[in-house]
Amino acid sequence: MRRLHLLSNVNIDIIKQFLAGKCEVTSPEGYGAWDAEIMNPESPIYKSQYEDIIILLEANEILKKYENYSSAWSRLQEIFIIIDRLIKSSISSNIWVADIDIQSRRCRCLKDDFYEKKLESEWMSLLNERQTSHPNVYILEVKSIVENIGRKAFYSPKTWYVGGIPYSLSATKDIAALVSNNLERLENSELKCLAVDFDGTLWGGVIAEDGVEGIVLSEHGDGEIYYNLQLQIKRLVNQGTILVGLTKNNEDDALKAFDHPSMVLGEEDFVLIKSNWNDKWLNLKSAIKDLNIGLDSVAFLDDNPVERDLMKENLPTVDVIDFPEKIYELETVFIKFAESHFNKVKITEDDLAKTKMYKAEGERIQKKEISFSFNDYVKSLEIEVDFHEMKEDEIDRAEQLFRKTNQFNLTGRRYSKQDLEELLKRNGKVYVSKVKDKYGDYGTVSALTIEIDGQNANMGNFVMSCRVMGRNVEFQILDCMRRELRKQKIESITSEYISTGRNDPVKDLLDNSGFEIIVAEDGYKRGVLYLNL
Amino acid sequence: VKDDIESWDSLMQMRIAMEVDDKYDAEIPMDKIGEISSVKELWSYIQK
Repeated sequence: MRRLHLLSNVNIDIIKQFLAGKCEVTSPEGYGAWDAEIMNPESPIYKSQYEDIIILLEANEILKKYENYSSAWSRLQEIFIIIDRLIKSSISSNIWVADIDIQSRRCRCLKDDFYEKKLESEWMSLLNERQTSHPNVYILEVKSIVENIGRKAFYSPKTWYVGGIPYSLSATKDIAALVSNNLERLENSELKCLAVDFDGTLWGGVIAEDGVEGIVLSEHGDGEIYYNLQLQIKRLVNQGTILVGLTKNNEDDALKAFDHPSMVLGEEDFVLIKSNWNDKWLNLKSAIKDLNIGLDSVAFLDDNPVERDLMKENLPTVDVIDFPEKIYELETVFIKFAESHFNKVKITEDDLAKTKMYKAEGERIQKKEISFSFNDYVKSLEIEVDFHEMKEDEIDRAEQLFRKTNQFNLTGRRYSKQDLEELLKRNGKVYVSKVKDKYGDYGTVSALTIEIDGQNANMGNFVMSCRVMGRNVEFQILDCMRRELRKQKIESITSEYISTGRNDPVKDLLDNSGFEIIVAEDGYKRGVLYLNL
Repeated sequence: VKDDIESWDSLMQMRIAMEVDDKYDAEIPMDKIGEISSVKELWSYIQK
C-alpha cells in the first residue's frame, strides 16, 4: 500500500478517513503544523519513505487578514518559499501541491480589481513552473472540484466553525477521490489503444443506409455530440494513442464517412480500420496481435450493448467503456474514462511519433479470414422473432425498410407503398418481423415479399435492418417463412441474389440457407429451396 | 449510546453530523453537534 503524508493548515481528518484503505495515510500531529514539519530538517518527511506528500492549503484561511492584492500576494509568496524548501530538498517522494480557490470575503465596489482571481492565477503559475522543472512535483487540481460542484456546495461554514473543517461532506469525498484517482494513475499502466465503433458512436445513424449526407454529425445541434467526441479522440491520437476502427460495414461504405464535412477524425488517424462482418472481438484480437500490444492495454467504445457484451465475454482484459444512456453525456463520460485510463504523466516526443509508427505497422497487416462459431453467444441473447403477415398499419415501416436498407438487401428491389399495395392485390404477401432479445426490443426490422405461382413461391426481396445483423436473425426469419409456406402447401421457394454493389453481406445468404443454387453468375444467383424434403 | 461504540470519538461525532446533514437534509444546530450522545438523538433530528 502506498504511504501518503498529508500536510494542511486545516482539519483534514475526515479526508484521511476516506482515504484509509486505499493508502496508508499520515499527517502531523495537531492542525496547522504543515509549515513546521517542512522547516524542521528532523521531521519524518525527510526520513520516512513516503511515496507521496500532499500539500493542501486552504487559502481563504491564510489570506483572511490581508486587505489588498500586494499584501496577500506577499503572504502567498512567503508560503511558497516554505513549499519550495520541500520541493528543492532531495527527497524522492512525489510532491502534490493543491491549487487554490479564493473567495472574495469583502465588500467590493463595482470597479473592484477582483484581485482574488489574480492571486489564484499567480499561484497556479508558480505550481506550473515547479512541476515543469521537478519531475516529482504534481499539481492537485482541487479547484476543479469547486468549479464542478460550486462554492456553496464545496464549503461548509458550519463544520468550519465547529471543527475547523472548511469543506462539506461531498467536497471532502471529492477531494479524497481526486487524491485516490491521481495516485492510481501514477501506479497503473496506461492504456495504449482505443478501438472504436463507427455507426452510432462516431456519428449518429448508419453510413451505409443514411449516406454521407444523412449521418448525424455537425458542429452544432445534436450532431455536435459526435463532433465533440471526435475532437476528444483526436486529442488522444495526437498524444500518441493508437486508434483502431472496428465496424460492421462494407469497407467502401465505412470510408465514405471520412468525406463528411464535419468529420474531425481522418482516415490517417487510424492505425487500422477493420471494416467487415466478423465479430469485433475477433477483429480486435487479430489487430492487436499484429500490432504487438497487449489486450490489457486496449479500450473499446461502442454504442451497441451486444457488441460490448461480446467483447467483455471474449476478451475480458479489454476495458469496455460504459456508453452513456443519455447520449448528451458522451463527451463527459469519455473524458472521464480517458483521464483515468490513458493516464500519461507527461506527453513525450515518442508518444507523438507513435501513431505514425503503428500506422506503418498496420499497413503491413493483411486482412485475414477468420472462421468462428458464436452459436452459444447467439443462444444466450434469447432472440425472439415475431414473423407475421404485414398488417395494414405496418405498410409504412415495410416500405421504409425496402427503401432505406442497402446492406442486407437481397435483390435491391425497392418497393414503394403503391408497389406493396399492388402486390397484395395480386394475392402476393408481405411478411414483416419484429425482433427482440434480452437487451431490448428492436421493433420491426425485416420485410420480405412472396408471390405465389401454383406450388411455388417466389421471394422477390428480403431486407433486414443492420441493427440486428450478425446474430443469425436472418436464418430464424427464413425458417419462419419456410414453416409458414409449408402450411400453405407450397412445395418450393425460389429467390435471387442481385448484387447492388452495397449488399455484399447477403451474397451467400441463399447458399447458407439451404437454397440449391441453379444459376450463379457474376453478381447474380438464382436458387430454389424445396420444402417437402 | 455513544459510550457503547468505541469508534464514536469527536471526529466521528463531526462525521455523523455531516452525514446526517448531507443524506437526510436534517439540520443539526451548531451548538448541539457536540452534545449528541445516542442514535436516538440523531434519529430525532432526522425525523424533524
